[in-house]
Amino acid sequence: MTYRLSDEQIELRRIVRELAEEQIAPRAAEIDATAEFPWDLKELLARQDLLGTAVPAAYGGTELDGVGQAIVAEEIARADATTSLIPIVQKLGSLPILLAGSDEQKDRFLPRLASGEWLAAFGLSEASAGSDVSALRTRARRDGDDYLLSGSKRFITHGSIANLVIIFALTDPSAGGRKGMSAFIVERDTPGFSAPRVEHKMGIRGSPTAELLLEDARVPAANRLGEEGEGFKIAMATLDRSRVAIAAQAVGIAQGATDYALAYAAQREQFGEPVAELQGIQFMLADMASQTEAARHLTYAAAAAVDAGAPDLAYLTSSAKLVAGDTAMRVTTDAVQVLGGYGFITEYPVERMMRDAKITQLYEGTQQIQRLVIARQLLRRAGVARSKTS
Amino acid sequence: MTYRLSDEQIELRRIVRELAEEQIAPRAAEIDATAEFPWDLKELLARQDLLGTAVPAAYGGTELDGVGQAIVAEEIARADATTSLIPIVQKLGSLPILLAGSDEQKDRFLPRLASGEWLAAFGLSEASAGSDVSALRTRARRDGDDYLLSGSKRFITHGSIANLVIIFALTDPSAGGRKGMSAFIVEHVVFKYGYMVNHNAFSRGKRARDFTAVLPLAELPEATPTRAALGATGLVLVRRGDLVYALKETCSHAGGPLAEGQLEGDTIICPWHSSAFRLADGAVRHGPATSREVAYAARINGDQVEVQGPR
Repeated sequence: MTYRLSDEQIELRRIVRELAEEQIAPRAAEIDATAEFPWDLKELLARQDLLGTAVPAAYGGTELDGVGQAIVAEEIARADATTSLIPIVQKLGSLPILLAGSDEQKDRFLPRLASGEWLAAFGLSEASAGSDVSALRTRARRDGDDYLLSGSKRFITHGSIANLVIIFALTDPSAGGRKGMSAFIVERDTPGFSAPRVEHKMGIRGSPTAELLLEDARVPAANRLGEEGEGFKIAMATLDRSRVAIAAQAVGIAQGATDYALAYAAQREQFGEPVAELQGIQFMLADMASQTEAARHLTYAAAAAVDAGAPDLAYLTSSAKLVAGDTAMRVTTDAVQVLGGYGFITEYPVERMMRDAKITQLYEGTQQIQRLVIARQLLRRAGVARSKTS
Repeated sequence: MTYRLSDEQIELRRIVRELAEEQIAPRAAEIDATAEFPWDLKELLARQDLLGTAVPAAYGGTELDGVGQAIVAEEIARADATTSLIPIVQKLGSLPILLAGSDEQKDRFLPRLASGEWLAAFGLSEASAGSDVSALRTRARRDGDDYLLSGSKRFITHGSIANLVIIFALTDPSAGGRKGMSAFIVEHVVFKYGYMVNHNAFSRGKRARDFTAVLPLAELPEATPTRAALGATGLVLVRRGDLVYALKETCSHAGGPLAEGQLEGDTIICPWHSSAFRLADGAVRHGPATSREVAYAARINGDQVEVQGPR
């Protein structure tokens, strides 16, 4: 095993970092203040072929390996967490098609997602079905060659701007969420499909988080992913893989905060010297840097496990998201502390990073759900019966 | 030792909790969203005699014991942290008078603070004197029966709305901060830029008025080290080659530029948002701008720098 980045990955990191520092970082404060989606940066990322990194070349993607995809998310998040969600959510919405789509569906949708012409979103959560995914209530009723979808979704990242949303709905309510759920590709112009509300949020403020309404939305059966009843499996297989990107986002946020705090400490003078000379500050910076480094390597290991199709990939991806999310929260909180009162005001970027970091502990499974996933894998390995959790 | 609340303290907690739940908690989200000081709640707390809890009865206060004062702050903060700062900062600004004021000063100021007619603030921190309090640079020079105070304070809670601010300033710079510092009661301080107020407004998506400010740009000789540049006070922008630096006040002390940007054509490109702000800082101090928080673009025009607000 060669435990280092390849020359291509190092070059990728250099290119994306440069792009992020020059064209994304200067926009971050304004995106946060105005809470407007950065369409210009979406175009920039599309032009740079950074929205199809998870898509095979046959469908117009750049087909990066998992570590490469993590590097892209990480380097963009280092400059701005909101903007990093553009490739991250594009992958999240593409994965169900990649994992369960027919050749026809892949031909129809993947090229437009890979080029960035279309944006994708992932419509699983509902107001009463958050951590408890199987409690979802959106229904899909067969009607000739179509399905009629009815219900509502909540907290759907990019739900209001996506050209297609993967909607999970019950085709067989009597079988319950786990066995009665199916997945559908719902296109934006579908009659009966709307996004009536966008949330006001603490962080990732430029990334619209939408409520979606399905009022007998007519979706062709040709847009169903896999068979009826495979929805839960598709959702879990997607999340087992997609959450590496959230881990990478968290690593990027933590690295951005560490870099800023370090630069600040080197120039801020108190007691006659830069505060970076004070051991109390040095210890904080050392903790921030080393914890971020640890989270990064676990994230890369998880990304590599996804590539390898490792049977326990969920164990590693959940571990990475758990560790990286907590690291981002701790490190950004410390960065505010290093800047003192200056860290608390919007003139400096670290308070934004701290607000942005919080979401990494919440979405694509709360940290508590990650622990459940990890524990189930542990118990399975140990041969312990899973009477309650299965 | 009896470690339990007295009946009076329990009753105080019940009363303040009820007040906070009924009249403060329902306002908390709006106060946060609008970033506006809740003058109505200041009046409410004044009417309920909760702004003079640290002041002796002789000066119109309610003279609660320390635990009682803690209960007041705690129960209000349980509903809304912003509102809890009203009694907390009132006490912070009253304490120097309570601890060190003459009888005449106590007579003159404490009743108005205890009643809540006046708000007080505590002006210690400066941009370069945060944790390092003794590094403060505000000066106070004796002038007959007066002192002339000059300098600037930063991060002063309620500084823009207080009727009096306790200002700490050096009367004897040669003795250093610890021994050369004095405290003054400064009435009706007008803070020109309303810094925190504007800052909060912007962070909530409100836009301050557009503006363009122009300030002179000095050419820095190639050989001059930036830290030694110019004996000017205030913040100045200097240019050397295609780099633009913002230098603060007495540069010999500052140890380098506050910020620097790359000059490309007629535009200053700043690596970080805060650098742009620091460049803009100069414009606010020298020009007509009302909020440095909205400035983020700086542009060279001949021998001047233009700083622009959003769109």
